[in-house]
Amino acid sequence: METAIYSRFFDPYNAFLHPESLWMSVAIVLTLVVAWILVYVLGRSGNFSDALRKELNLRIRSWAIMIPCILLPILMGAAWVMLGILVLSISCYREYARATGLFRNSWTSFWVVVGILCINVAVIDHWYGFFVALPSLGVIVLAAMAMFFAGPSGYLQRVALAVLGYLLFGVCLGHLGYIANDADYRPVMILLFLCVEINDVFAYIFGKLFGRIKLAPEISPNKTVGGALGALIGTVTLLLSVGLFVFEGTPMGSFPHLICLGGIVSVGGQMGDLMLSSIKRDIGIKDIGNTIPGHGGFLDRFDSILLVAPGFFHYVHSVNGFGLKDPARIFF
Amino acid sequence: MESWEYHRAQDLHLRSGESVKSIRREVGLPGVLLALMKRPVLQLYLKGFHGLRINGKQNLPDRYPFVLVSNHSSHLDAVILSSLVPVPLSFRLFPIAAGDTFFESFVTSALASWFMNALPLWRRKVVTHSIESLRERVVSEPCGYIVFPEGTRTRTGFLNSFKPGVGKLVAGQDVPIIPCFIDGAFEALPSHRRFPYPKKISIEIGEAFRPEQVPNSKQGWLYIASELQKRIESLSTKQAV
Repeated sequence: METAIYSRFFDPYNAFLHPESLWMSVAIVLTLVVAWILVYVLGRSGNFSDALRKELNLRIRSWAIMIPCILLPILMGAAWVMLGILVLSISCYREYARATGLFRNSWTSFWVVVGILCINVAVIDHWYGFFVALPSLGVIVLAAMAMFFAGPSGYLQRVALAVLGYLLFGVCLGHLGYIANDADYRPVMILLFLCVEINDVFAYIFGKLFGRIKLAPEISPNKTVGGALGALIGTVTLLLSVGLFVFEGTPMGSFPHLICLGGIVSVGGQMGDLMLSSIKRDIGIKDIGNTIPGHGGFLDRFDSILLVAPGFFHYVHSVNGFGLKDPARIFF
Repeated sequence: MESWEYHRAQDLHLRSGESVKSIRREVGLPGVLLALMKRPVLQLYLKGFHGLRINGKQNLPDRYPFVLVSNHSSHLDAVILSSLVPVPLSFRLFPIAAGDTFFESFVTSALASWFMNALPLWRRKVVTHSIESLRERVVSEPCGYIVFPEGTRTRTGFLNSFKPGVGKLVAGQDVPIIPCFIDGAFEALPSHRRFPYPKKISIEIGEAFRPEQVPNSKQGWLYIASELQKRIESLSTKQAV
């Protein structure tokens, strides 16, 4: 294997090749520590109600587990990112299939999993042609295969569920893995995860502060217009200020592009959140699984990133390009 | 157009450790793939090592739900019965196994649930409750059971009397019960042996018994148990001739 590919895949010494990755990681960890101290001190002084303190503590504790799980693979190398995304795709699809009942149709489910594996083959191989062909090819295969081993009754619903699952958890999440095909993927990816997750936090905080008008009371009663707008402004500001350093010296590193990208991340993230709420409302469940005990399933945790990943990827790809200088078609 | 029902997995909110021991455990894609892989291996073993002969194949079910019932003389019985049914019906075929034998330690419960698909029935604890759930499950979702009405393996080689639990499971429901008689399994792997002898095994499959007319009462349960015992005894004499 060429040295460039090997070092992109496996070399942990590249972790802080870009100073931006180092100070973003430090800032994330510091933010968590400061948040923990703040909640502790304010809780002690009696500014919070007991319920609110408990909720904040639970959130901080879950972040303390989530942050290393996301950050370490990104810093360690592209292979771990791609493996992580594959595991995430399969786990999310499993939860979705079990919640909707699609898993009983093993044959259709099998082809969705094959599709997800193909996406990841294209990602690992850095095969852009196959990667962008797979959404349509997958739809063809699913529509054709769902005809076998089951009667025509329920065909349309079966295919619709399978195609949505494949597109959301295979294709959309696959874009995250594809970012790692660029040798300079680390700061971009940390920035993406940072903005998506902070977007949720902003929506929560601004919602508590200014939330009066409900955004979508039938889908998710806790979402407010104030929270949504606050998150939009906050995330755009964050992405703009950090993105100027991360994308410094590239076409992406300009104000209009970064503002657009911030809008995509913020709106996409909130839509992803509402989308999963709609799915859960429709099925009639509160959590979609029990993969992470106490916090529901993977899907409950990673709902916001689903709709952001393709938009983010294609925007940056059309302006900057991902992995244009890196070797393509590594294995096949 | 038939509208899709969001018939979610019944063990959706159980942790994986809990679902192993739960009678609500569902079979997903990994289970189906495992069943497809283990089937030819087991068939080759039964055919090659035990020269398995099957009579009355036409009596096998062609759709869920159904209950396979047979005499119980060795651990091979469940393996033999699960290798009999047509492939599409083998994925959600659950042998009902004694909870206190198979589901006490993690290793045996993992083996029993992943490899054999077994569902636990606790003999010493409150049995009624779990039989009720199993009774609901067999009609509410398409699946099949393997039940040994003797309750345990025979220690002598002769048929023990059937317990009424099997009647509780199916009385009054539209679930065909297929009685089978397995001959030679006791000689091949009696309860005190760890590893099987290469002895011949044959199986006689009887005609389905339909319990939908039988009342779901104590008398009905006893009637089903005695009727099944009669049928399986007659299968054994049929085989001897």
